[in-house]
Amino acid sequence: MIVFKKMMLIVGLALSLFGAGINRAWAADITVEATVNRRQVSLNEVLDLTLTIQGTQQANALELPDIDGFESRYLGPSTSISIINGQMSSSIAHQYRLFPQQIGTFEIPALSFKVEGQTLTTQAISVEVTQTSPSARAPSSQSAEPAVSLDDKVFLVLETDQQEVFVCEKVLVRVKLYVSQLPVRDINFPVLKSDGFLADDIAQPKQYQKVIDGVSYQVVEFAWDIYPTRPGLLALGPAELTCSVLYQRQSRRRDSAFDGFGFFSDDFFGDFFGGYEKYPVSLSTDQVALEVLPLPEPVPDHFSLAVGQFDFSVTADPVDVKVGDPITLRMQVSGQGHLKGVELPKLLESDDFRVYAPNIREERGIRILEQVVIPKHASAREIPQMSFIYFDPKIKRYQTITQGPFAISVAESSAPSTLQVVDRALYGSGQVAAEELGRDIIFIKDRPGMFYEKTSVLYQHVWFWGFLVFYTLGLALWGWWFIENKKILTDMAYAKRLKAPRQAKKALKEAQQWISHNKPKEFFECVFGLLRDYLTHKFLIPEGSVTPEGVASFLREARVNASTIEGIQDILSQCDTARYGLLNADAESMQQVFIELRRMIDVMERI
Amino acid sequence: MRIRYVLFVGILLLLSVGLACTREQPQQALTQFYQGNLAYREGNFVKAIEAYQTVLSQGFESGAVYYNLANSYLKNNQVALAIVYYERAQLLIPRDPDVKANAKYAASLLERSGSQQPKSFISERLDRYQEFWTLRETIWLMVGAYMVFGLIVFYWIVYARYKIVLVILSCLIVVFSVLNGWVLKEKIAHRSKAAIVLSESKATFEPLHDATVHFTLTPGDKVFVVEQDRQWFKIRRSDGRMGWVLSESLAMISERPR
Repeated sequence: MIVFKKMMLIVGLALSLFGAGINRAWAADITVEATVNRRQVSLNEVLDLTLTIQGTQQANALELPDIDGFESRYLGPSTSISIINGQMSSSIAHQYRLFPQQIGTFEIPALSFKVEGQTLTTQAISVEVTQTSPSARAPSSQSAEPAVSLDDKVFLVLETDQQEVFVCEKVLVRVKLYVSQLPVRDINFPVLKSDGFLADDIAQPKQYQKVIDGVSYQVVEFAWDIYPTRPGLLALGPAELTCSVLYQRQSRRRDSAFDGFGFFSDDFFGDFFGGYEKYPVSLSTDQVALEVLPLPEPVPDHFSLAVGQFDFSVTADPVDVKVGDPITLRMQVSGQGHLKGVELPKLLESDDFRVYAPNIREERGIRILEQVVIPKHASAREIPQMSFIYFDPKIKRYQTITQGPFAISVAESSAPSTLQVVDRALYGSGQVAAEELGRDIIFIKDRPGMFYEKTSVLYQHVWFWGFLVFYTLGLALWGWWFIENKKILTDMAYAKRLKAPRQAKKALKEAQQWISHNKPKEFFECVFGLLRDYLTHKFLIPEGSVTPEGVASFLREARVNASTIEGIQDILSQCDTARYGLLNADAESMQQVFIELRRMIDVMERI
Repeated sequence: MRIRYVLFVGILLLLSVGLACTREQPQQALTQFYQGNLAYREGNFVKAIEAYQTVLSQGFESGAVYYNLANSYLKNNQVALAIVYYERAQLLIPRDPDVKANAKYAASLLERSGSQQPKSFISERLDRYQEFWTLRETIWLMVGAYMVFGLIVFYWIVYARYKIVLVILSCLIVVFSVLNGWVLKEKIAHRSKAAIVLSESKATFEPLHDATVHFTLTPGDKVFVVEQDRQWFKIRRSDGRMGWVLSESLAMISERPR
């Protein structure tokens, strides 16, 4: 129950946060805008007026006042919600249709709305009503469709951000394509006539919406920089752009009762699905005049031809070198202006330095010059300062940025001066003279190394094979020893069988001693113990079965021959008799028993 | 306890190998070698050649002796013989860059006849591997592989663990052994390699003085001796052509029996 309550609390919290977020997303300023689909309409056409309220969907339709020159009719509302960059916005658009009643220029007045306690007003819109539709500039296609005026629906505009500039100063050019209420496709990049200008590449076009005099347009904007190369009044443009306009085809007149009637009509499917055709359209702008001023005199010496605002920096690396070692001087300039034509300063050959042709390149809007300089002697203390002179059109003055001098430390070279190979790319097409090297043999060896007998081969030596045999045997023995040891540790019966002869040998020695001491009782005790231990370990006979009668069956199973079994039985009987003091054996009879016993153990060992 | 046994056996093995490798340098040969060096420094190349040849005639050889002898022949303008002795030096010190450099230089002094058959990438790599080791080293490598294989088998039988690792090791050892076996075979086959020492040596179709000449050989050309018939040697050139030449036309690269 507690868990459920906790879950509901979390869900409720999440929902409220979400709701707040939505509310925040929804909360936006309310604006109202009035737009028409065209600014010029003929008597036999209609005009669409749209009142769009942004920021809310709760706005009732406005009853239009009487508009001079037009009859109006309310068509209905349409709502929309859009989410752009995570921000939600809503709007409601009320559509009206206006029917022109007479020729002339009329004004749709500013309209006031009351929305959520606010009073919002639109702008007035001027509309011209003509007798008939004006003809379009679009080239006529193969079809016989009537010409349509596109002037107010699609047009091109050329703009610059300045009208008066200096030579080489950056000028931003914009070519804008305005399209209203017309589907347009295949928009090509504009071509701008720009004699006397250098131009950068055109950036990716931007697209946005703009309202001009009450008409909403979709705008495609192309922008790029140009740089005038000579003074005077230069004409920029016109800019030309080609695109395709989609035009809805009108249905054919029916010439017979069966022609195009319902299902049998060729136009049935065309009319049913819309029937759009593409018309190529070529648009152009007017020219724009640009006053290009010459750079003010006097132009300083070593002027870099840079016009704009720039940064200039120089580095020298390394600074601790020896005579003849290269130092790379790197200069870079960046900023607002045309970089391609900029001349960077370079170090000239002098008594202190030998210089090479610089390597110049552009990287991500930065112009870089790299030059290799080589100090000729140790008394070269510094690389002289480098200056970059440019013209700033904002302040209308030449500016100089100076870097350096750069202190260096040049030590005498310890090795004789030799040809140094530096990066070929820094030299451009620099070439190194071919060097002729001498050829001869390398000197003799001072030490004889290891002497070998000329005619002997390693595998012909006895010791070589001896070594291999020794290794193999050693490994085999070692392996056998490991396995044997493991068996003894894990197999008790086997361990006992191995121990039996050693124990028997030890007991025989003891028995021999009893014979020499003439102790029959001890002798037979020892013999009995020997036989008992030996038979139990060797043949796994239970101790209790080591009797003259009991031992026979086990020994027969172990394939001991009958005479040996009889001999063992006889000795065991003698042992029993002697142990109970009933046998009086002398040394000779003990010796016989001993010999017989040893023989029998030898026989059993061979099993 | 077990580790002590392993160490004990390992030390025994190393000792036996070490004993096998050490031997005393023959004093007479050393003396002649240094005398040859002295004569070379004085510019008396004929005397230097004599001294080095004396070392060889005493039944001893070393890479340095062959190298110095080859240098002496080259200084004495006997380029073909120099090439022969550089080849002999390379058999004993194949990785010495001085020998390779001088042999290349000597070869560049002679115009060579015949054409080299282009080799495939694998063939070239195998030849390089084969030339990298001396015969002695190849044999020891095979012994080493055998010893490692023995240890693997021992471990398998005694401990029976890490069987997959042992199988992989065994496979590698087998491959290594096969490769070195091939190297051994090639080195033994190279004993029949010889170099032409006389200019305008003619290889004939038959081992007869008046036989038709098949092709001409120039000093420094390397050939393989295929057969011998009295004072004639049947040789095979690098492009596969065969012919008979007189024994004085060539010198065997390896003086060991073929």
